[in-house]
Amino acid sequence: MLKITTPRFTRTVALAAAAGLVVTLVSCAVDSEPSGGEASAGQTLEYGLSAEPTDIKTGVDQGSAAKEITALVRRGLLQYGPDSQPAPALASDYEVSDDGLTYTFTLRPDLSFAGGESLTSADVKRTFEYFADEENGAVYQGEFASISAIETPDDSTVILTLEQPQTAFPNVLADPLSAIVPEEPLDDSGSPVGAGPFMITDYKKGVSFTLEANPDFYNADEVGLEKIEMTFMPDAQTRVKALMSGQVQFIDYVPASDYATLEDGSGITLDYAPGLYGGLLLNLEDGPLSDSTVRQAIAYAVDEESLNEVGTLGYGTTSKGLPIVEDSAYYDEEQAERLAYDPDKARELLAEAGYEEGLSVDLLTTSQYFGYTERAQVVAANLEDVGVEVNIVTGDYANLISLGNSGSYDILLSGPPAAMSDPTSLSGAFLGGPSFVRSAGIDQDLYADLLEQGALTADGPEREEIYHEIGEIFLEDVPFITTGQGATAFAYTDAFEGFEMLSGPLAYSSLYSFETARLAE
Amino acid sequence: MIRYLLVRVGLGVVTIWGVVTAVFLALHAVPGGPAAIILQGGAGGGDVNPAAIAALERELGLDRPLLEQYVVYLWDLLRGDLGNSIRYSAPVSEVMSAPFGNTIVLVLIALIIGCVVGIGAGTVAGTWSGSVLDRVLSGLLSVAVSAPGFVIAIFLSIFLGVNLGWFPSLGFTPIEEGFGSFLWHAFLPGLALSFGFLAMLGRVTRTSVLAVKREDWVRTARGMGMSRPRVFRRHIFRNAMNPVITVSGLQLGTMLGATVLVEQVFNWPGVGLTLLNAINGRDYPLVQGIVIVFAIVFIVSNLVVDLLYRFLDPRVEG
Repeated sequence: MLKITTPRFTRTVALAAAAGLVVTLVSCAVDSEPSGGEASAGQTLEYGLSAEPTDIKTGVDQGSAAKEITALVRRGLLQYGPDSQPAPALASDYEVSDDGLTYTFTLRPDLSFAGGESLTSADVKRTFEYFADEENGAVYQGEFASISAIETPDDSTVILTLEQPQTAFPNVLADPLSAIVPEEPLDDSGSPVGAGPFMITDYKKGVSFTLEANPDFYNADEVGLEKIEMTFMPDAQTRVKALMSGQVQFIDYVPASDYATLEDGSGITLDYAPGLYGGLLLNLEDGPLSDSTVRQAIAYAVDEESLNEVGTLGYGTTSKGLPIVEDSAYYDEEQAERLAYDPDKARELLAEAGYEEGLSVDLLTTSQYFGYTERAQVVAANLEDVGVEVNIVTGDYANLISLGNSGSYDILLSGPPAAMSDPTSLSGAFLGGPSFVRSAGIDQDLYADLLEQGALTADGPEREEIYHEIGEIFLEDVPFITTGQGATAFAYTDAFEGFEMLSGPLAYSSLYSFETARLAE
Repeated sequence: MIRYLLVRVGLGVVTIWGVVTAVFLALHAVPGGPAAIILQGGAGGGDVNPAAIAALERELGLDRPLLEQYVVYLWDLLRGDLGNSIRYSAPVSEVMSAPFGNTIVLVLIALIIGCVVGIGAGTVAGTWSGSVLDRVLSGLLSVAVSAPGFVIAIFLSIFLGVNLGWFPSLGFTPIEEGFGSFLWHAFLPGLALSFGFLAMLGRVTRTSVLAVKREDWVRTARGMGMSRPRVFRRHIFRNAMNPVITVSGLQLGTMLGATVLVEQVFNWPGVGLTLLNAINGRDYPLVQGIVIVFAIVFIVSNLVVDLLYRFLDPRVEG
């Protein structure tokens, strides 16, 4: 008689189950798709995305992954071309009045959002008014709030009147975050909707987005890809492994430590460019750093070459001037080198400020992403070398944001924000309350007027002079320390053509070029 | 028996309340809230008007006093409402269900591998104790129990996945798209998860078999002429299994914890990975919801193990 509790029965069942499992697995291994290799049938791109962009808030800078998705499914009046200059998008044309105050945009005919809902000047007006409201947190809230009037004489014409001329206004409109959205910007599953070349057709929480070509896109005929499968891969090593083994054909946010591996990988293209500025934020309100001499000392004590090596493995740049991208006409090389690494000078300044016995500071960083703790250790070593005792405080990214927003640190390892390549975005680094991307207690009076002037002066020697002057004040006051541009990179299979990478603050707007990119047959 | 069960369930409820309170306090004690993370927290993101953060916090009810938030949460919990995930703007129960399913598959694979290989190895080592086979197996089991879970996971992923290509080194296909492919992707993470469990089971089994082997009644049975295999089946194995079952129950809890690391290495969208992302994103309701389910699993599995123990060994008070 077979009793259910006999060891024989239990053992038999267990063995049978194990055998069954092995057989199933082997048979599946035999007839499953090979993991390596070429693109799936047709123009389907497998994309390893560095984060899951849930809860997209229109116009807010929620990070790289959110911006990438927005550049794929939405479009604004303008976009960035491969030359990093504003180019037509929903608007086929625009005119600016001589005084720089009135912009007249002509929208293309018969525009619609994905799904067929028509897109008219009324949608443009509604979207821009939404951006102007402070409570919505749009990254360009200030710029949109300074539009004094929006007229829509007909469905295809939008006339914007600005309070003051903004030289970089077209750049603001070209940013994916300024895209025009429908009344319901998110669909039932919470995914963003827009008028871009692709639309999200499936969202599996925690797993992936599926995007398909949007037939209602104004340039649908030129779109090469039929489908993009974006799998969320927050771990950088996972993304790199997935690309190397052929499981995906495109990855974003490649850490510098993997550049060499990918460059050597066959069949893989690595596209890298200088990125946002890295640096140190300082607490000017409380503590030893409220003295500008101490701040200057710290600036001299920090070794920007080492930081570049450790943070970006040498792929970034070194520059201690204003956080202006190096290929800009407003970049000042002499100013960039004024505070170059000089530990003797640092000690001299500390003594001058009364700290020959040394002092002690808290350095706030995070362990969640590559590069932060590594750089923090370099900074700590540099400072200890000149007699400053450093206490490294670490935690996850949410911790950094929270303590940074409330100014609860002496030094914070972070960088100034930059929404666009035009120096107008310098104001984000100086003006406004403390935030984890802006030092606490900056003297706004020193900079506000000049920054405003710079924003409204047209390109040319007069504008260069204004930013030069801001630079001079910056180098004396040292409200924050810059160390150079980081490096940003994408990597993809050689078969993927047409991707144009943009550099600096525009890096994640590079996804605009997916509009006409395709996989080679 | 009924009284015993009621007492256990009652204790279980108190335990869950304690866990919920501890997690609630811990989450709110740590700097950082979900509003700032949602608006500013994507890598590469940044500057946001504090007015926007304040507005979002009001919308999420996070500006209300902590005690009020706690009481409201408990009250909803009593009515079976786990609240809404802040990140996903959907009910926590809905957000958790698919990841839990995915993790259960890994745990089942790990349990099967762990039981078969662990008990098998431990039994062989115990039965032929002192032999070369025993020494080799014991050595391997020691390695498996000492190596950190994520090291094993990374090693398997690279060696069996990338280098040999026998299994995918990461990734996931949903069940709807092919049960076979789903299992094929689940195997390596399941295997990685099984190591700690397998090693623990193996060692306990070996010790237990060794101890039972030396009992008088085993010698008596042999002395009476019973064949070795029969002695093993009827006397040694069944008695040796008692401590093994107890240990298994405790190991289940540890295994759930190990899923956090294993799932990250393999990018497997299970409950461990979801929990990790929820903590980083300060998604309070989602973290609490997952922790509650973990606590229930732990309590129930321990209860089942205790009942099974009584059932298997009539000497224990029922």
